[in-house]
Amino acid sequence: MANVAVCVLGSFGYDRAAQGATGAGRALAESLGGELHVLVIGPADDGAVASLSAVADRVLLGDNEELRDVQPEQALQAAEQLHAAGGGDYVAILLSNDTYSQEIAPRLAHRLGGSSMADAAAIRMDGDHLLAQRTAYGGKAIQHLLGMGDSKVVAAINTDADAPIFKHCSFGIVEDYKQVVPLLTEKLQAMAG
Amino acid sequence: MKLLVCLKQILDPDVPARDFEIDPAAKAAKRGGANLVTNIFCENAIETALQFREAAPDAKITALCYGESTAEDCLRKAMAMTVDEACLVQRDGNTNPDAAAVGKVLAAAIQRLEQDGGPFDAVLVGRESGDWGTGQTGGALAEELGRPVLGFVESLAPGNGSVTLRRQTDIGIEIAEAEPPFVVTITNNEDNVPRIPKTRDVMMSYRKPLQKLTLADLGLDSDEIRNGSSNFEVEEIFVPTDEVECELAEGDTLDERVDQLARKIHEVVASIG
Repeated sequence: MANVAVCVLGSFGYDRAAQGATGAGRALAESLGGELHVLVIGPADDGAVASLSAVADRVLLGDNEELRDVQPEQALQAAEQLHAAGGGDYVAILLSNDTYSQEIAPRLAHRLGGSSMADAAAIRMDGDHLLAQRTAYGGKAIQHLLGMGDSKVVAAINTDADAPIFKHCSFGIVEDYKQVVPLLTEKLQAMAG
Repeated sequence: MKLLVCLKQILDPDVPARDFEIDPAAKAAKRGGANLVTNIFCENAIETALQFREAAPDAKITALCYGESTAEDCLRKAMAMTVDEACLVQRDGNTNPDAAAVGKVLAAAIQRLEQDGGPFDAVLVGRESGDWGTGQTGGALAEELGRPVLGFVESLAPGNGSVTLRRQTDIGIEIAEAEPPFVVTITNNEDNVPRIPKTRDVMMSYRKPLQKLTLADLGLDSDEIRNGSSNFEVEEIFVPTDEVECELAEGDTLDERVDQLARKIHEVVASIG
């Protein structure tokens, strides 16, 4: 079976990180025609378990009370045990990007004889291989522009008509912001009524 | 106490975006006119170790780097920051970001140094590098050594037979007592900003011992180690281009131009609802 596993930390519940990881895992499992298993490290509340069960084919609970405060050594052992309990032959194991999971990822990969990679922005299967997209050489300018990608519309104010920002915005004005901002604020407030 | 700090030499991350180019054949950044520098989190790790030694003056600090011959500069700088001694494991030009292979090399070098000089109580690694930024090396190294690891540590202080670690997590600061030997990955805070070496210490750094090892010396001279594990490779790397047509505000006066900009913003905001 070409199954996918997601490791989540129970005490964090079904938070945004867990939602992101299970969502990505669901899509990957569907593309493989396999199952999505969620390995829950530490006790999770009923609501979180219900939410995870709605997304996953199997939810494996490592709900030992000792795992409530995440201790890396114990969490790692629990991840290994849950991995074995779920059948073990996962194509990929996804973790969210919180600090505790970041600690576990390379060690779990090492113990399972695989490799690990952090900060994947998108993942998909490419034939037999898992293709992960991520940023590298985190240059300030590049990161800044990537960060803006989420904004629907970017309007730029810069005195330099050749400023790089004008290649990444929808609207622009070549002026001194000190002159533009008060005037623009006033006009937008008037338009908003 | 004996501390070992692992260093990585990388392309200066402060190189301006317009000078940043990819070499498509090598699937890595072009060196161009950029400097090679010590990865910043590794320098934070040196500073953290030096501050530990200030609190425990008997402590000895060794710097270890797996890199090309240019990486000798990183080790000299570490010794100019007053690290006691250094070791370079020489690698060829391959830069494939494979933490599994790097972890094996660093672990073998550490074990070699321990045979000669006794065990290291703490191994410090930067939390991630400013080039590939995978953040996997500390964990891989700890597994190779069979030692526990704590991540995102910002300070080490001597305790009674143990070491007090302060670390950053998503839910706050954690204080941990760790019994040596252990591995930590170091992150930055306002207190571990790397010191600037004094001129005298720069001169002295050339008198300090710098041992050089090859992969063959460590019994690791294999394709798998040199080229990175076959588990994983860089498929493609590119500079993102998300350039769009920008509509510049026009008009004879400042008021007219700002008015036009305001109308456009207002239209978009209204359409989003």
